[in-house]
Amino acid sequence: MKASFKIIFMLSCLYFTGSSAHAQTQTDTVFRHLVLKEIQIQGYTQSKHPGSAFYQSSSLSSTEDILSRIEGVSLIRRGPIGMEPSLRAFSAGQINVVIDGMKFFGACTDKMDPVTIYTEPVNLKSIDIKYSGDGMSMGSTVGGTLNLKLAEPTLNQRQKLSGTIASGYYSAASAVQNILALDYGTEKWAMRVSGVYRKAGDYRNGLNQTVNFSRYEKANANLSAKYQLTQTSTLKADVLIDEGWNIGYPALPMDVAFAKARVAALSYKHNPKDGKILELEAKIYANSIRHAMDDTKRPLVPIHMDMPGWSDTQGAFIQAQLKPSGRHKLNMKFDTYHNRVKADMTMYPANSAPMYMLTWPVNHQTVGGIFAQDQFSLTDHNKIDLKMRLDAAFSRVTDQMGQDQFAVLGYDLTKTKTSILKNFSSGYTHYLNHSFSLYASAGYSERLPTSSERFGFYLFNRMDNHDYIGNPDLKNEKAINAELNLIYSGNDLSVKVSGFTSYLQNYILGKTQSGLSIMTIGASGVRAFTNIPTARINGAESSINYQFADRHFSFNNTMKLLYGRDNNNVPLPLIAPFKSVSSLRFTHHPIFIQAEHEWSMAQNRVNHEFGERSSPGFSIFNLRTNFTFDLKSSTLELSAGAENLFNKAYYEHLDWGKMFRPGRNIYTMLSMKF
Amino acid sequence: MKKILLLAAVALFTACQKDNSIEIADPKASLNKIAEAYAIGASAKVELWSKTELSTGYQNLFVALYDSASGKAINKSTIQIMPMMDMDINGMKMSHSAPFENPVSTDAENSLFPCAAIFTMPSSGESGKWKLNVMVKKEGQTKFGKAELSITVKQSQPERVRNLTATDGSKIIVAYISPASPKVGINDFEIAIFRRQDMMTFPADDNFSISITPEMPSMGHGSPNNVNPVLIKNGHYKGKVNFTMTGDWKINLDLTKGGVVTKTNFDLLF
Repeated sequence: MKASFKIIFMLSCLYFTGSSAHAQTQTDTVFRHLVLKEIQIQGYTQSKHPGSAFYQSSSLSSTEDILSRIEGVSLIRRGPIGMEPSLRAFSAGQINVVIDGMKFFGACTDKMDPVTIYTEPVNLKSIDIKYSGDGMSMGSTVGGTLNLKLAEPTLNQRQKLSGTIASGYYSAASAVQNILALDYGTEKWAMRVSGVYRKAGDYRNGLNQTVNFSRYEKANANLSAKYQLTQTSTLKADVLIDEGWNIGYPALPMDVAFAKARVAALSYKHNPKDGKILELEAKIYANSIRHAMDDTKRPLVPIHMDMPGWSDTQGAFIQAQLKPSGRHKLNMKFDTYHNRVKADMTMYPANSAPMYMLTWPVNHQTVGGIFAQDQFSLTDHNKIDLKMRLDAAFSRVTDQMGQDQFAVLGYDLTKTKTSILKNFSSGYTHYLNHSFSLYASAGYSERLPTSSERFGFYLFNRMDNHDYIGNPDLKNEKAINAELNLIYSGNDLSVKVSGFTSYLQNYILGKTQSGLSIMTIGASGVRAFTNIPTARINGAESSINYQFADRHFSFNNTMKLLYGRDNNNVPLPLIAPFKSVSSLRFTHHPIFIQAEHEWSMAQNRVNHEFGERSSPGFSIFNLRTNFTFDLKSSTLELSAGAENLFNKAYYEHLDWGKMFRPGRNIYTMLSMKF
Repeated sequence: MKKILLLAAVALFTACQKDNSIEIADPKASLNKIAEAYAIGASAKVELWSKTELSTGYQNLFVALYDSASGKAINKSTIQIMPMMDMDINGMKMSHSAPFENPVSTDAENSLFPCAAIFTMPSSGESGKWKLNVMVKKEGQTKFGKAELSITVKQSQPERVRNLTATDGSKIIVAYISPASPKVGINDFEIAIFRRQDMMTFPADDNFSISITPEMPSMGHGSPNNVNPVLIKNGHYKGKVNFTMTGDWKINLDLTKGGVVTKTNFDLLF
């Protein structure tokens, strides 16, 4: 507490020492793309950044496809959709995954519904990634923030009504995808409607085998309306509905019968002409998720079971960006949310009564936080960015049965648990010359344990074949992070190289409890989440974009390397090996052709206790083409391509169950923009 | 909001109820009358009350006494009970008793005398009839008067009593007492053990050490942190049993006496 007061004091001191700042807008934009990763999603307006096309490799790309391209992101794959994002080896409760700044918590005890499953690129404007403590504006986090920014309706459009309609097909899973997006905008108000329907069969892998239980079906609809209240203020309402049915998870013993998300938000934005405030934004939101696991389609299930989950979140925030004052740019935010989750399990043995238990007792979490940021220019070439955040968190298990279940394990859950989370980060940017810059940051951050880590009750983990029980007494995980980025940004070439390190204390990991007997038939043991003293994650990334031959050619490459170990020098689980993705695009209107190469090394540094085994490396090629036909008042686009061109049987290290990924996948999509 | 209103309503309701119960205070309100008879020689009417219908196993009983002339409740008396089973198997007649626990005090609690019987088998029409003999000696009386109450004992479902031949050859009766309504979480566990000395004598057996292992037969798993029952007194052993979920449970018991283990179990469903 004392330390944070000091920080506030420091901030206010600095506030009075500044003088006029120099605008570096151009550099800032590139900087934003390269360092504070923000991937623009291609809607109607082509992204200005040449690299964005690399990340969204085709208009059929799902949110997960785009994420998989980002050098700092790996995906933990349990099925063809519902992959869990991992930011520089941080995942689940270590990172914030938010939609437009809204807190969201999956309703599945087995992490089958990361927040990313509930969005589609068509309703996104951009994906904004901030690593480690840099992402603290959205909540206390040790691993960073992934913000899926929703597309917004535009006031004063050149043409009142515009839209896209698209339909595509993928061969590997006989999948179809249909997209519709409509934009309507007048001076006073604007509206945007988008919808996606996707249906996929069981996919065929690189050995030409059909992978059972890999089908899925989902629909997503988004409605957004903006109203101009005054010349300087707008009101925006968003409604998002996402529904998935019969989603297969071939690497898990169960599938998903349905996964439903409902989101509603109301935001107010004010850009006053006078006064100290540049922009004021306030938002209230609510979301609810209903999720049900299903094993009725699986053969040889020893006991059929139903495992539904519920998650409801309500929240609000208000943030103010002050007008630059002297050399300072101040930003303040107050936010709060309340989340309630519950999950249970009913088992139906053949010849006796059903069995019922709570896999997540009803637990409520209420968090209130304050965030402050000061960006100030020391000189024209040196910038400092200070951020701090304080969160107060209250959690409580409210149902008697849940309290009783944990009493069996020796825990008293009748009281509210309170904790204070402290986060601080400082960044330093140095512009060496017009093209070269350096960005270094260091910080301290904390995060709360998740519902599963605290209150999970015999949650089966297929990966290590253990039942996991929560530990209500877990301490907050703490991290000291540091990173260094070198950026070159010329006219045709931009390069970024980053190195980063995280030193974690009270790292949360499951450890075997010898005194407890298993619950899941066939499980090897019981593990409880514990705070291990320390862990370390190091890594490096690079990205290159080079345009040549009169910008007809564009070359992109990303590389990532991660290294994690615990206090006994044992590798941490779920660390992706070295991977490099390259693409070369030839553009000559109206066509483009793009060749891609994905290359991953083997991962031999594995955590055997967690059930990991070495994964071999792989190398696959993709080929993409795109033809644009300009019609009178619309544009017709035909995309076609082949992923995994040589039909390789491969999997990535973070793919559970070492299930082979889809084999050669020929796709085609026709879209019309008007 | 709804919840708060409901809570308030419940609070109000329970508050009212409390007030009422002070006025009414009928100890038999939650009990059923099982039988009644006159204790010949004690000039008293004996009523037998119980929370439930009588069934095999440990059965809490309540005796209410009334003066046969005035009808007034009698609150001080020595009471001794004796369950008796009269059997008639194809004309072959025999009788035996069962373990029982007399009221501990000569003073009634709320005008009732609590006692218990451990019925070792159910009634079976004409071939097996239970009765409860109640011996009454009111304050100031020198002799006992005896009332014979005919009762019907049903089979408990699942079975709450085990008639065992211990590994050392002795006959023992193990009665399940609690949890009467098991719940997920920690439950107080209690059993009582009696030795069959002869057909009429069933003393409590205080010499067992017991280990408890709950199990879900349909899944094969157990539960952690159970507490082995230890002797309280009079053959009663108390411990803790933990259930992690609802469903079919089996409580396995190892009863050890003189180094010899006798195994038994009780089934539960909730």
